[in-house]
Amino acid sequence: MRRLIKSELFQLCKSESYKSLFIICCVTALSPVKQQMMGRTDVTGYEWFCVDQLMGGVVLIPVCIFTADYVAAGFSDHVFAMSVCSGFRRGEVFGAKLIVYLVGAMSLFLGNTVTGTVSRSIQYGFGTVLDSIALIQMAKAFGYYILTYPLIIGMSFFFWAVAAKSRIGSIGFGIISVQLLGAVTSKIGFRFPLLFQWNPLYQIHSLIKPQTFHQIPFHQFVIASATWFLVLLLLSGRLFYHSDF
Amino acid sequence: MEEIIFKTEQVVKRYKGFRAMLKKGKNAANALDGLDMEIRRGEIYGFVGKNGAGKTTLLRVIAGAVLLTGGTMELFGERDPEKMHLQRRRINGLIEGPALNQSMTAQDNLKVCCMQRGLDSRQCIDEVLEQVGLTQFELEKRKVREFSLGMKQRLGIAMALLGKPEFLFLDEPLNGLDPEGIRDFRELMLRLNQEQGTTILISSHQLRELTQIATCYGFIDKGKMIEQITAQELEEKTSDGDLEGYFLSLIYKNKLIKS
Repeated sequence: MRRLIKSELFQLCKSESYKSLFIICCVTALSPVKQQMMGRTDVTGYEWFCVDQLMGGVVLIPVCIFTADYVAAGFSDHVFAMSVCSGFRRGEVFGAKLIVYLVGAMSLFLGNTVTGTVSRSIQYGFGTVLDSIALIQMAKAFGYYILTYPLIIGMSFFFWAVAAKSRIGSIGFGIISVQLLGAVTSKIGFRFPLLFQWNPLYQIHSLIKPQTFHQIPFHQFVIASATWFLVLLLLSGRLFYHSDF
Repeated sequence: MEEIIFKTEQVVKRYKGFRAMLKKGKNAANALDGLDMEIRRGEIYGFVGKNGAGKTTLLRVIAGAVLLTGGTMELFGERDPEKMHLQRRRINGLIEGPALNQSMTAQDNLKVCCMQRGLDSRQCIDEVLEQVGLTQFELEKRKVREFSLGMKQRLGIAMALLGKPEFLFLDEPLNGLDPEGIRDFRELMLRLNQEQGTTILISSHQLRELTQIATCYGFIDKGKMIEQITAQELEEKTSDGDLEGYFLSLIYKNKLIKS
């Protein structure tokens, strides 16, 4: 499996579309559109890191396209067939693809994070003294961000890529499912906290709009995220194992 | 008699999916429908059939790209599907079209294959380059998306040759090749078979080319093997080794039997 992971990483590094998507993810972080819509223009680096980036937004689109191009295309371009023919088990092919996909998706999200934080710090200052309290707050926000976006949302995109087995299906289902879940959570999630509190997106909303959404303990968020990740992983794995390449 | 390196017994492959389920007829979705087949070590096996007969599906089954719905497959004596991947390290092939990354150069595509198979890329790439007639310049400088169909096909064949497989399977390998390429391909297959003892399975509609290299043939129709004969038996039955005529007569007979 190590050889397979190495070959997948090699392909990812050579991929022109991935490099373009990385640049797009960084550029989307420079856009002040979201803040302007909310009537806020002078968002500091600290505010962006701890609050604004948690709202997700446009960065999800290039990540969804990356998933389609890297995962779903493996079915139509005979990439998975080649890996299986080289003597790897289906589980190994799936595992290598998932690991390298998560590395790639994480890099896209982190590019967005770093660019947004640095650009706003340059424009409006960092916004606070970098003391232990600020660092703890940033670590917590980063934990929420990493668990929600690269892991849960990224895994959702991965699931749809394996289920759809086509680029267009992967993009369509991926974007629609995430937008639907986000919209439903924001519109009615706060009315049914007992039902929605185990949804990671609810917990993100509880950080951004604490006046509307009931705040959830961090450990509950970790349990909810881990459960969602495992369920999506098992479903994706099962679908992949029984797929024709 | 040489050992059997590949064998199928009543293999069935039914593709799942909404469209397949909608098709009328009892076995409308069966790409392979009780196929029995044997390939012995050292043979160059010509696999002949109409469009949609199941040739590509069988090659995908050999590669492990599709899972069987029924029946058994044996590869180098191994029947257990959980251990089949170990035997697949001894095979390589080209199915439908080469699995090329269009934004990489040809050399990088070959490096990916070498990495997956644990081969020394520098040594292997030079060797297969020479065999398929692609120059170093073409490999290093140009991205695959700039290649012609014939060059992509040559690259696909080069990828199939990596690792000197004991069993090589090729699906329509002559697609897009110019006359020189076809001649080179023919000589390459004969050389691999005679010098390295490679067993080769070729699925092709170019029957005249097939008669020049194949040592035996398998005729498939609607997912079933109609007949398997050696080149010598074909000569005896047709007096001039006319593969096309023999194949068409078999298809016609098969239609009559079914009706």
